[in-house]
Amino acid sequence: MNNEKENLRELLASFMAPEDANKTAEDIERGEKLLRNWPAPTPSETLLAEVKQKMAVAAGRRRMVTFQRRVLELAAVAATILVVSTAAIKIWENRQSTLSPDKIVALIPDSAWEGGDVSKSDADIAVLSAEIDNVADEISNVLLSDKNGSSAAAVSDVEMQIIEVSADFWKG
Amino acid sequence: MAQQDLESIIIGCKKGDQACFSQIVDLYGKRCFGYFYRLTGNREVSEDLLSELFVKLVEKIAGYKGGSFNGWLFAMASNIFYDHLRFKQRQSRLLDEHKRRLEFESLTVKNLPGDEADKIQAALGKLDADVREVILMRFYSQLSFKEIADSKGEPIGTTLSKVHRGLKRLRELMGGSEL
Repeated sequence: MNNEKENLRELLASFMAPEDANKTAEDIERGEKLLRNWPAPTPSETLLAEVKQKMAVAAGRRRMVTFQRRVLELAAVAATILVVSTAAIKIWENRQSTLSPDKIVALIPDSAWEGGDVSKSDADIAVLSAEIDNVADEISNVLLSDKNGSSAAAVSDVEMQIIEVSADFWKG
Repeated sequence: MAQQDLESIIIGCKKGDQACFSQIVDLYGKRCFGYFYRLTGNREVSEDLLSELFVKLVEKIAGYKGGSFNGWLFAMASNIFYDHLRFKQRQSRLLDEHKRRLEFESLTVKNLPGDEADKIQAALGKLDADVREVILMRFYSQLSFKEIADSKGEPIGTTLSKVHRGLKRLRELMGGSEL
């Protein structure tokens, strides 16, 4: 079969002179004829049957390993999804429940910055500043207590206070 | 056997089809056994290596990506043989080629019914291990020189030279006889 795939003489001729190629090809062919004339022993039918049996066992083992690997991969994917979704929910909850200082500033109506009575405004601003400091302290407390997971109630309190401060301020 | 038939058997093997594995053994069992026997000169060792080869085939067949199946199978057989040789070397502390040859010859004599019954085995044992392996791979795998050279990762000229030198020496050792 191997000689059908390649022309030995042509192949050898690419390395040596044509006469040498012919001689070398003859040497190879005669050597291979020697091997054909002295065949190796053949395996027993029992051995071949045993080999087939061992292959069946190995195939079963391979299926089991493949199955276990797939189960482990699925478990890893499920665990990753669980961790990521838990983290996402936690982050979303935190964003919903905390009130940043920017949002507090946004609660103050634009008219506050457009008042005409300067002396009244100064007094109001002083009161407002005190209230803002108070709220800032409360926010700091909320942020610190957030690590303990008890922030929801504290946030509600702060929100109530902000609403009160806002209402008081605009009442005058 | 048609290439298409072989391909469908290989596809079956990849799916774990037991009948296809059996067909592979029927197709290649004798040739691979002959290859191992001529390399080791020992029937029992050849039986073990043959079993190891086909079990490994089951484990590795998923990684077979096409190309010459003969080449793939005999490259694996060659690796198994060299692993065995290294194991034997470690085990018996035979570190040089001369001692390895002596061991090979003693195995040959011990396991054969008589020198005349398989004179070629003793002659093969006198060749360099790598030359012997290339000659036997060429003979039993029926691979082309190019395929063998690719499988060994050496230039085709080197493979040609080894086979030529080895077969010429084999004929000399056999007293020029071909029968």
